[in-house]
Amino acid sequence: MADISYWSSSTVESGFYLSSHTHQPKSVNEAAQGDDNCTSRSGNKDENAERKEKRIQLSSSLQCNIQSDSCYVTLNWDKNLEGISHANINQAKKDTEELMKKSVITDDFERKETIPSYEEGLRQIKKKRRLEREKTKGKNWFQMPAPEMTEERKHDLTILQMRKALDPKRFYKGNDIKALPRYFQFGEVVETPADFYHARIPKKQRKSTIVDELLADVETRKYNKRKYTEIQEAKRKNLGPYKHMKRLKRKKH
Amino acid sequence: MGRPGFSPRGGGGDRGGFRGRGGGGFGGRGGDRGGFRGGRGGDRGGFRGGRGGFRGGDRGGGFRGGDRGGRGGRGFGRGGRGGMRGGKKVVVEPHRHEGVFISRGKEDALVTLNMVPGESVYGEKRISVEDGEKKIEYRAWNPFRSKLAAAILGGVDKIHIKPGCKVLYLGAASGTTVSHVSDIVGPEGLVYAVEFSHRSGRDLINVAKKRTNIIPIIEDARHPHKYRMLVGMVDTVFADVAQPDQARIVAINAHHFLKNGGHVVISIKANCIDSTAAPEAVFAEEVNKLKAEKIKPQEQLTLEPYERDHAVVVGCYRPPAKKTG
Repeated sequence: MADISYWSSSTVESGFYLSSHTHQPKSVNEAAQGDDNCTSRSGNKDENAERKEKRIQLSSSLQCNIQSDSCYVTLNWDKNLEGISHANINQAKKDTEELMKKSVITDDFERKETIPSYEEGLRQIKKKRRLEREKTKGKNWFQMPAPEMTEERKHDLTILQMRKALDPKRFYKGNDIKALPRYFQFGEVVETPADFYHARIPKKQRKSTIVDELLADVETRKYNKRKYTEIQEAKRKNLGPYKHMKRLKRKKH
Repeated sequence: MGRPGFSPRGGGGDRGGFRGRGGGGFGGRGGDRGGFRGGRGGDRGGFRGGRGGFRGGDRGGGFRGGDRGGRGGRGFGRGGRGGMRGGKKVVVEPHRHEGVFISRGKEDALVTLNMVPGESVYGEKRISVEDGEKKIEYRAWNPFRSKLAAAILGGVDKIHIKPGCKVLYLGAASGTTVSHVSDIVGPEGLVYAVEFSHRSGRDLINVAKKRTNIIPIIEDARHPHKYRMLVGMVDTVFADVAQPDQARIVAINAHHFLKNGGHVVISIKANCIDSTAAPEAVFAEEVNKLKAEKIKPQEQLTLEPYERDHAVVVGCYRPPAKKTG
């Protein structure tokens, strides 16, 4: 048994398997009686013999005295296949997928200029962490999200910033930030059964955004239209703040 | 001048008084806040009008006689074509203070994240937010009913109450402000709410039934040894007890439960301590008492448009020694 070499490469093929089995000395077989594989094999000796005839015989068969059950790789495939069910195969697939998630060898691996390094730099890790952190306002504000800025949201936030122009009878303090907020959520005031009728908006008149709400308000639209025409008129006639505008603009150029 | 705005930046800066003043004493305080006081007369009339009834003299007996009047005050948006009608759309933004948010719409409001969605504690407005499939809810916080909210809107620099911290709340009354504090500290924090009056303690217990982070204690805050087995070490003591010996009560509780370097936030009602002296003098005297008890005052501000002759004092208990050199 001194010359047993442990072949772990997959190039050890079925030819090998054949030769090693057919020419296995009996003593070896008996010596390894304790092993499960061996006991079952010795039981099906006749079957093995039949199978041997079916297989392709190689021109030359190496006799390297390999005892196949002492290899890393189990070489008796048939035996293995018997135990494999579909569930097992699926499980194995899943496991590989799970393992391959971390792999840098992806489908477009050949197209890459360099082999991506598996280890990330500290700076990269920090950058990633920062990006992840910036997605929410953090645990001190109960993970308030930074939602994607769509047109609709932008309009709503802008109109909130310019709300001092909406109602002539209402006065607001100035905005503390010029930019639109990063972290925000759109909500709806919940009505309670105790509310008086004028403290709620009828369901049919509810709108989905602040802008829509304003557009549905007749008063606001009236006021806005009046103001708009006033300004247009003033611009046309060069009145009020527009008195010197033309001259100033000419000077500028 | 109107109410302080809802700006998350707050008044900040110079309202703090203690900071940036070097060794300046407390004494000259009243004067330099002149601007705030100026508008006392006319323009605030509207706010005050409806409120006299529930906040009258019923503060006397017990710790804080009577509850704070249930739903006496007209909160914002109650009635009228306010900005907070049911069904209105608003934007919720984070406030400068941790755990506090602002809802912006036609009207702004201070809000906190509701720990018990679907429940309103004292009839306050709620704002529901649908974020994907999960629904969260915010509750409006009325500065006219809560001194802490008033202090936040007044621009206090730090409230020392944030998610995950433990707060000892003296003078919890019926648990209106306590419910908001419990919202702020969140499921990881704790609020020990102490209230002597059984009547309002009942309401407090009802609030605590639904909020697991409130521990109601119906006991006199003058005797902390009676509830010492219930309370662990806390990060902050908030006191709204309105008693003549308020400073002593706070100090005793701080000695029992407050960690070194923890903070004390006290709301002082000048009338309750000495109704004959000038409010400024009363505040200064109270602050001196605190100093004597190893509570280093850090900040003082009036709750002027929201409460008359009230001040909030923030202090640090046994602050760590200043590093030299």
